[in-house]
Amino acid sequence: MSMFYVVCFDISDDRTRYRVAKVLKGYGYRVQKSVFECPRLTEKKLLTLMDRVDRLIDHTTDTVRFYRQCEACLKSFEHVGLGLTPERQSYGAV
Amino acid sequence: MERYYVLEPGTYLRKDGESLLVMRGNEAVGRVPLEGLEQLVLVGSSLSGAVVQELVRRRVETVLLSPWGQFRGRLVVDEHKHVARRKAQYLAFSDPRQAVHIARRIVQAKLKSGARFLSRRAGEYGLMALRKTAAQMMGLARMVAVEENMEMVRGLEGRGAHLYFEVFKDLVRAPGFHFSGRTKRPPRDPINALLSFVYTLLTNEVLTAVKIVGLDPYLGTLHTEEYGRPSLACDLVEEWRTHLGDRLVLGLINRRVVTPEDFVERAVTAADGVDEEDLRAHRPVEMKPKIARAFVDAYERWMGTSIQCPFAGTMSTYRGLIRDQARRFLRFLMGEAPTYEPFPWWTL
Repeated sequence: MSMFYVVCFDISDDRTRYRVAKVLKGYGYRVQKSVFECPRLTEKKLLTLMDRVDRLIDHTTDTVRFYRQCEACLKSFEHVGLGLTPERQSYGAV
Repeated sequence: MERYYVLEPGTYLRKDGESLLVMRGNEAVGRVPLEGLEQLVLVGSSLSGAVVQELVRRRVETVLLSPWGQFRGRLVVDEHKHVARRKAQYLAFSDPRQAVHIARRIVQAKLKSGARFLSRRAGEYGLMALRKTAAQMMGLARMVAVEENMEMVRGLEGRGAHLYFEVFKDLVRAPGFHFSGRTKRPPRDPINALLSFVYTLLTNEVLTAVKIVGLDPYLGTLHTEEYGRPSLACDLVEEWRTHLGDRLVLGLINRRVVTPEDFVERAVTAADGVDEEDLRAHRPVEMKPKIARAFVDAYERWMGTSIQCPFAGTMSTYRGLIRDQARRFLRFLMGEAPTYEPFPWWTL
């Protein structure tokens, strides 16, 4: 059972931030400068991701937050300005 | 993201951390997170060595297709499990009586499905020609049912396919499309291109399903062994062609989703024609990338269509049915079912 997560971070050091972003790119999409959407995370993947981020960040200055979104939350998503509505497709094409 | 299609010829894949970048020249046109990726379909695009390493490491099934949807190759990590299952398959297929029995079931189902489809459309469009072909195909299906000779079974299958594609043009209700029989390798007109493409995708679905249950996709019965041809997948795809392939293509054409303007004709690089005119006739057709994306969208939605399984009564999707049928085929091979029952489209 996969879940949709919104991951936001606040990281002061450039190098650390780059590394965390690089990890997150493997799990989802960058929708804002410090916000990622990971549309299909299983429990296991989430724990792996949290652990990997945990090892990278500086615990005195940085935070990374994971918000789980259920189907109903995703349906009631609203936005102003740029951007697309979050998708949970099981396929992609370019 | 479980499946990802790269539909733009001339792009290449690059590894970037834990995702893949789809590049055209120096510009990234797409990004695919590797986490959770199961299948990658590349149409006329290439990939770097690092990407190959990564795909193999993560066991992503990668399929390479030519720009007109012809199968070129695949990158698979072979699973050495289920020796008993493969053994059962080799034994069944090397026994001529069993081999004919399986081929017969498959061809019979294909003919009946095709006939049912034509007679339905005949009613809708009020065309006698379709009804006549449907009746002929039903006759062939009855002949196949008692046929003991493998070559005859193959011949009847070919005859049925020929009859079917002779009237296929009457199923096309949109202006501007011409269809004068099935052409493959390469397809010569937009309809043939769409058919080839969807058959390739379906064969892929079947191949994946066959691999999931642990059988060897390369040994079949109806399709002879041929280097690099997944014969078993080709055999088991027969029962899906009409109802999952042709119906999708015809729906897109008749609902004007695709128009003749969505295709480009390209000169073939390998010139093997007799003269100029012959070369022109052999020019392969390509979908423009925009319509290729729309086609893949439609295909994915289509494969997710819900349907009630007539065997189990449970709800499933078209993709689920293909997986279930592969499991049924396995049960038959392992002697847990008396015969293989292809999907009964003619009863729906």
